[in-house]
Amino acid sequence: MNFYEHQDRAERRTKYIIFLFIVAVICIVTLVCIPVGFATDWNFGAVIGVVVVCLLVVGISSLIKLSQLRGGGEGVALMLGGIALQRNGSDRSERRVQNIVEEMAIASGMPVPPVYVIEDDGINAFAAGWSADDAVIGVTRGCVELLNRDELQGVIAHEFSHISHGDVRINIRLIGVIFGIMALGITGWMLVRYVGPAIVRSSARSRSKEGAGGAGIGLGIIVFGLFLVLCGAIGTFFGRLIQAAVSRQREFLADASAVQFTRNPLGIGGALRKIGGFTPLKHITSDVGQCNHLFFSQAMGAIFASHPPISERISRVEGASVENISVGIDTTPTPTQTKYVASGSRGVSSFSSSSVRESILHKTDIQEVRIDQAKKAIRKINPILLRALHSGWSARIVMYALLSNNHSSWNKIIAQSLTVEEFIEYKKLSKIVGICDPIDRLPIIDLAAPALRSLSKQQLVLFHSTLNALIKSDGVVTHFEWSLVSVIQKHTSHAFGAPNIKTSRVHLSFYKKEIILVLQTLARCGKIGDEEENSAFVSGLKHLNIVPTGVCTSLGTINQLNTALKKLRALRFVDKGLFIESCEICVTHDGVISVVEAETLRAIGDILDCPIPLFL
Amino acid sequence: MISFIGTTIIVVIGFVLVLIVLIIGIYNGLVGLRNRVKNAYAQIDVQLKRRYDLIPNLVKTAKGYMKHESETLEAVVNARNQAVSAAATALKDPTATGAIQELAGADGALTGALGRLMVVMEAYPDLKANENMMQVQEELTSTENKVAFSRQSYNDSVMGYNNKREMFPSNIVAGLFGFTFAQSWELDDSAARDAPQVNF
Repeated sequence: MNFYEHQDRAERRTKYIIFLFIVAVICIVTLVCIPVGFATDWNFGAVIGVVVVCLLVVGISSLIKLSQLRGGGEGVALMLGGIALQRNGSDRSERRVQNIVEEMAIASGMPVPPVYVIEDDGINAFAAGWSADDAVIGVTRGCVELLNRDELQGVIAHEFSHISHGDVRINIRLIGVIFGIMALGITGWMLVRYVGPAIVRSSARSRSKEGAGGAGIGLGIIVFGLFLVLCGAIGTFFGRLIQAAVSRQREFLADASAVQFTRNPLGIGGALRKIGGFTPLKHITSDVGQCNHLFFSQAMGAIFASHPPISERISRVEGASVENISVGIDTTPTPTQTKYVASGSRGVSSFSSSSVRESILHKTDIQEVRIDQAKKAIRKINPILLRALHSGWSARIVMYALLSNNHSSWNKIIAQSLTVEEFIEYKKLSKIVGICDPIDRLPIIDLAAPALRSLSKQQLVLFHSTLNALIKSDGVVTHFEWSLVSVIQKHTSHAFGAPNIKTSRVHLSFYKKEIILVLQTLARCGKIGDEEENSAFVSGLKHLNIVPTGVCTSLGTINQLNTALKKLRALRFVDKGLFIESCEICVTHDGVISVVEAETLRAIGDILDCPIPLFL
Repeated sequence: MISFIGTTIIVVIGFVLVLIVLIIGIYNGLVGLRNRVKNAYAQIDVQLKRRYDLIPNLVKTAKGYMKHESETLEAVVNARNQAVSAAATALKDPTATGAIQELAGADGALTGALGRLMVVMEAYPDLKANENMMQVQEELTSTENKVAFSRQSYNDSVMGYNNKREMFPSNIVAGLFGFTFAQSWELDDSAARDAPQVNF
């Protein structure tokens, strides 16, 4: 199954899960009604009242939780008390984690996700987020300090595969719904501990006749509360059961994918062995319990096992049965190679069409080969540039430098928009960027993602408006300019609220107009001559069984292109896969893919939430 | 009779339940915003650490040339040490009362001391031309820019948190659970605005 099929299946499964939980809620509410009915002699009003109250509690709490989680991956990380790892920090182990995450992200064609650290001595990790550009990776302090590089890579690869399989989207919704059911239990608990006894105590002090009735009411409240707790517990139990069944299979799949990533079963096997020697997270708050299924290994006790037993995971990964888990803690870190390999080559490079095709079809999950390529790509980048990419202030300036051309109008706007200090930095970085190979531009943009995401909303608004002013300054927006700005805007879009993209149920051909527009744009970049362009465009359309009406007309405006892509975001993932394939056919029509074509294709994939792994 | 009491009780319980759920929701919202402030502070902290780490190098290089300016150099070292400890306190909990204020003061004092050192350095052209010194100065400038930029982002997150802390009804929940107001790090550079005194 490739990326698109995974994502599609994840979306369908989400609906199934929601349905199951609705059934669970109905069961619980019915259960609650029984004692109330007996107590009040089946008074219709009372029973209805109870039903309404229960539904209100579950409904409101689920809504509150879901609205919190609209903060996306970052919201989850903040809820768990994580602090984002700072790049350019001095801690070697922290830098190692970041390097690994960067390599993985570039290999899978995703923007680099920020890494959040949770201060816990256990070894665990999670991935959360609605889509690739909202994703975050979380690790515990134990992970950072106690695992060696291979093991770390195995764990991170596991988490990346969760993102790629769409698991994280299911998981966030699960949190919201489970919380609703738990809320019933929590409020029941409150009644038992506080409200009930308070009433009993206050009525015990008064000696009047009403006092005696009060004690009865107090006791009644306690009993009712206990019952609510029971129901909440039952509901949560079933909820976790379902959650576990869904998670367990996916964990095996994620482990298998991780092995494919790294071709190194020892990596993740080693990590699992180290975990085997540890008790579940000591700091068990109720928040962690809800996120149990997000974590790499058991975050709570075995009752709520959302992960398969460790020995079974190890044996599946290493291909042999494991009787005893020997706990050996090897803390010798492998030396990190940070050689800087200077690259002075200029000129336009190209990719082979077969490598592009393989990437797009996601024939296999990320392979070791791609990770090596990603490492090489990162090492090619000048260390000064790398440092600049790691802080929000300078990362923006790198983006300006990437866009720079020597038009007077461009220079005027840059001089106007930057402060003196920023301008000095801009001059310095322009020189470095100028000798960069165009092929390296894509990884540079991916690497800037976490720093740009850390900007505040106001800072982002200013940044976007400056970018737009710059690309429009000379009256022409090139393909590269459009790609760069669109990708940056997409990566930072979650600061402005999660978009509400409803998957459409209509057929692909419904979006004929939009598809034609996008394919035309693709066909135009890097092609020589109208005929070439037209035949590329037509062959792309043929893949989708769409017949073009009339000849390829003039290009639409930038706004039209952006609107078209926004509409296409609503496509089902399987359809998106088909569309991207047709884009690839259009682009490889002449057998060679220029850097500009690759960048535009990558940008289109980014906007449609379809990361395209690194071309080899 | 019972059924009437029963219905009232149920309504009351229902009200209480919904209230509890709302309180939990507000509490979690405050926690999320406060963690955002902590994260924004962490961005500043990494730049400050870099800045403070550069100072010993700077002082060592300068000592080789400025044999008679020990006072100025000592002032820099002391200011730096003060700032380091203020930063460590702030890192533990940036929303604690007074933490940011102290840090702002200590960092401002350091900036002042550095400024005076730069003026004194004018009299030592050899030192100014020293390769190492030039590199360190450039890095100092770079980190100062980054600190200023991160401070903007930090202040924005503080505003978001303080707003929620102040507004009704979250202010009630906040008071109950001991959420303090966070302080922004404003540009109060009265120390830097003082013209440095130069004694020859």
